[in-house]
Amino acid sequence: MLFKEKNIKIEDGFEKRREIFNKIIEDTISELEKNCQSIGEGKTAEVKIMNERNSICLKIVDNSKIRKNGVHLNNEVNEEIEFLDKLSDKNFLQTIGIEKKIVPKPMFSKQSGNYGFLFLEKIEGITIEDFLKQKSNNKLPENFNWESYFAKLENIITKLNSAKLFHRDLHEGNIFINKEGDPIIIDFGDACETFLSDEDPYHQEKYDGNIISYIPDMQHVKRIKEKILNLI
Amino acid sequence: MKVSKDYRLAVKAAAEKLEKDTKKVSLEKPYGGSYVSSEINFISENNKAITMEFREIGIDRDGKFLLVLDNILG
Repeated sequence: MLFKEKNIKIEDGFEKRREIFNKIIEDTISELEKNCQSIGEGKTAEVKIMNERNSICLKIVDNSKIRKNGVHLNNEVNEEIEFLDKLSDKNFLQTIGIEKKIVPKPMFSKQSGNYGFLFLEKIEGITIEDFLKQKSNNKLPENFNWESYFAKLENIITKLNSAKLFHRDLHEGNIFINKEGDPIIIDFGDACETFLSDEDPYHQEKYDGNIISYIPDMQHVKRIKEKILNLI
Repeated sequence: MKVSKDYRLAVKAAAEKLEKDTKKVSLEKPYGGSYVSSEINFISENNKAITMEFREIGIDRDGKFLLVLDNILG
């Protein structure tokens, strides 16, 4: 990077810094909107990158799809970044008995009008959904073993659930196989943390009194495991 | 806007390496598009930089450094 001396006083007040940060993020978002490729799409969000070399991707959440009558039904990006931060914290992971990384690292989040933007690490690897679509072992790491992979995934889910953390949307597109053959979990838009022992994370009352039901995390994992082991 | 704790820790880890002879340190992956510099009289050409104090990120040292967000996509 070339540096050029400039006769500029660098403003370092808190507000000025916030302004600069916001400007950089907004510029990057505009740049991405003009020149980007989509690498994933879900019910409420799309994930984009500028090019394959990028190590950071941008998740864009359509807030109109996660809000009803002004109340949000899923986590907004500023809540999702907190989940990712907690699950990226090596000390926290060690405390609950997890040794390796299990989620992409988060960078910044920003709410802007109808959209939420979350900058996070791009995972090198494929999702289980990608594998099922291609039905090919070509993109799996060398010596990859599904039994061992699912044992690791079940262990992660058991430990997270014991720590009162629940993903609640563990479908095939939200679970990666990284280059080391380990599970990486993405999309914490539906995740929750319970605090009371009698709270049921999979049946939650929403603003209108309706109960929303989720499939338990381990049930998802067992279903996917059975599907894959029957296929290979 | 929220800046993740993980990113802040990466800034701290890089800033701790700034020495008299090491004036520029890139952040660890995946944040390699950002770096810190002790040359606060200089600014990157596109002005994508902010100044920070060592103490405000938990480093026991006087003075300031520059956090340059050259390409946040890495």
